[in-house]
Amino acid sequence: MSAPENADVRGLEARGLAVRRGARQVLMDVDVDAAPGRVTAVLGPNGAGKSTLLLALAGLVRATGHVRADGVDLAELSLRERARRVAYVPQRSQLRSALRVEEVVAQGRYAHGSRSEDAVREALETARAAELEGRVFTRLSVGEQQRVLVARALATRASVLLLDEPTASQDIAQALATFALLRELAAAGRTVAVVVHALEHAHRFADDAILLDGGKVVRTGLATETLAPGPLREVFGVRMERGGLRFELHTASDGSEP
Amino acid sequence: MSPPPRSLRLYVGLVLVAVPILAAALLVGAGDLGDVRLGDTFLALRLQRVASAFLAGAALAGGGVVVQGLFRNPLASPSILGTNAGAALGGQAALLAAQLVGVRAVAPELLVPLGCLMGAFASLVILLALLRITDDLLALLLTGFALSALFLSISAFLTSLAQESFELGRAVVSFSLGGVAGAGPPQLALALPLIVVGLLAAFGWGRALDLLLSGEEEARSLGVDVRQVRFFAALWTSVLVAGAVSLGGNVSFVGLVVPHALRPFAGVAHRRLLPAAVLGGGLFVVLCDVVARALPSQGEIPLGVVTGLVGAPLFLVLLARMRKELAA
Repeated sequence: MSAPENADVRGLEARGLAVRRGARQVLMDVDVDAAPGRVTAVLGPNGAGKSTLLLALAGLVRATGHVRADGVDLAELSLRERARRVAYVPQRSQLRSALRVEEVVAQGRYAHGSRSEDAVREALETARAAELEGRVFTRLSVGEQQRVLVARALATRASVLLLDEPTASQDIAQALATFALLRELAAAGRTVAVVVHALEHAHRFADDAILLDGGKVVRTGLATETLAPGPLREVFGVRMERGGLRFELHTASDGSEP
Repeated sequence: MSPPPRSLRLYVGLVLVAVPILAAALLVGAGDLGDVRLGDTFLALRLQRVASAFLAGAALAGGGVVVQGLFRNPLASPSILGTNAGAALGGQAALLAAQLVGVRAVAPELLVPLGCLMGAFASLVILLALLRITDDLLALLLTGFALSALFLSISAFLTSLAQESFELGRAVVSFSLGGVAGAGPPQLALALPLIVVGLLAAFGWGRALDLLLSGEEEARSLGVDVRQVRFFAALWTSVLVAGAVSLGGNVSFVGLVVPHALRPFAGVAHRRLLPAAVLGGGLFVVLCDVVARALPSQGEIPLGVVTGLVGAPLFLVLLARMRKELAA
């Protein structure tokens, strides 16, 4: 298991993050506390600002507020220094050229200035993508591409991992394997923040959760408390059943508060 | 990781192809090498011509590799995006300035490469400003086409200004048609450092260009200063195109044909593709120059005509294939 390069892991902290896109305020006064060794799920309905929050945390969109990774303000770091602390995994890569898998993973070493074959191989093995080595990235299935993107993020040896719906195009077995991997990465000392679409996955695999709606944090804290029936009904309009393993549409006839 | 065997096979193939091409380049042409009095002179002239053609081709193919990475589009090339036309316009303007206005501050030999450099860089800066980085193939090609048309119109205007002097008019026209016949030792001496520096710098930026293939957002997340890479990629492409155009005038399609032909063997990664494209581009233009000399005609067929006859149909085939892939 590849470990983060920075020994002084203190997690990710954001204060007063706000993002405006044109006339629309996409994020408003968002605070984030993601601790090392824990998986933090970012949840919310479509258009809640989940992906934008991740981009803002990675410094990839113009945002106001402060983001600190392991106690260091990201605004004070160069792009390369930032990439060595915070790794971002997009939902889908925009890569359309026929680079081979190991060349894509080696991109994660750019911020270090050296390719380091060992780091590339270790990242591929950790992300369970070693068997894809030698293949052309664009000819892989979306689920396989996602594993390669995770490997590329691991090759940066960043202590903070931000993942935007990594399981969106994966089947159930792949999705469970991905979440198991995220838990392993957190156990190795990384700070993992992941946008999750499926509430049952968040319920099962996340330690903490941030519930967004309309660009604002509705609730944050332990996943078991944040993903409680009340907030979920308020934000998603769904009813939680069987301890978070199943969700049904909430209707007015459902009656009283849980 | 060791390079795959197909890379080795590619370079062996290129070297094997180089032998007959270079031999033909030295043997084909007007003048008898066996002539006791003039044989050595003919040989020296042909060597100059081979060197000019090789350097121009290497630079244009190298520029093609960089510009395709910059725009994330295998159909981009200096000639299609108007960079060649911009460089040629700059070179023509420099020729005119030297002759008509009487610029004395800079030597005339220096003025042409300098003009080419300024013209090529201006064309790429205008293109980048108009498009930013776009995935829209049509917008990219149409903007390149419009810029080319603009530069060619201004070139035509400059040509009309040069008609009063026969020599100047001929020099200006030969720039727009392309050809390495007029390049002598002074032009080679000026273009060589431009091209060598441009190629080394392009190789140095290869990894950043690889990352740019994944789009601006991903590249930035991995530590790439996208604006800086764009600026320097445009600068080094301009240096390469300026070096090539100052040697061979407006030779089109080399930057498109050569990287495309070699990509299946060398791969997409810029540091693998660039050296192969340099060698392949050089040989391609030397071969086209041999064809230009060998084809029966009154006088000599301009080099740009031969590269255009090969490159334009290939461009159309590529365009059709790419649109088909996008539709699928």
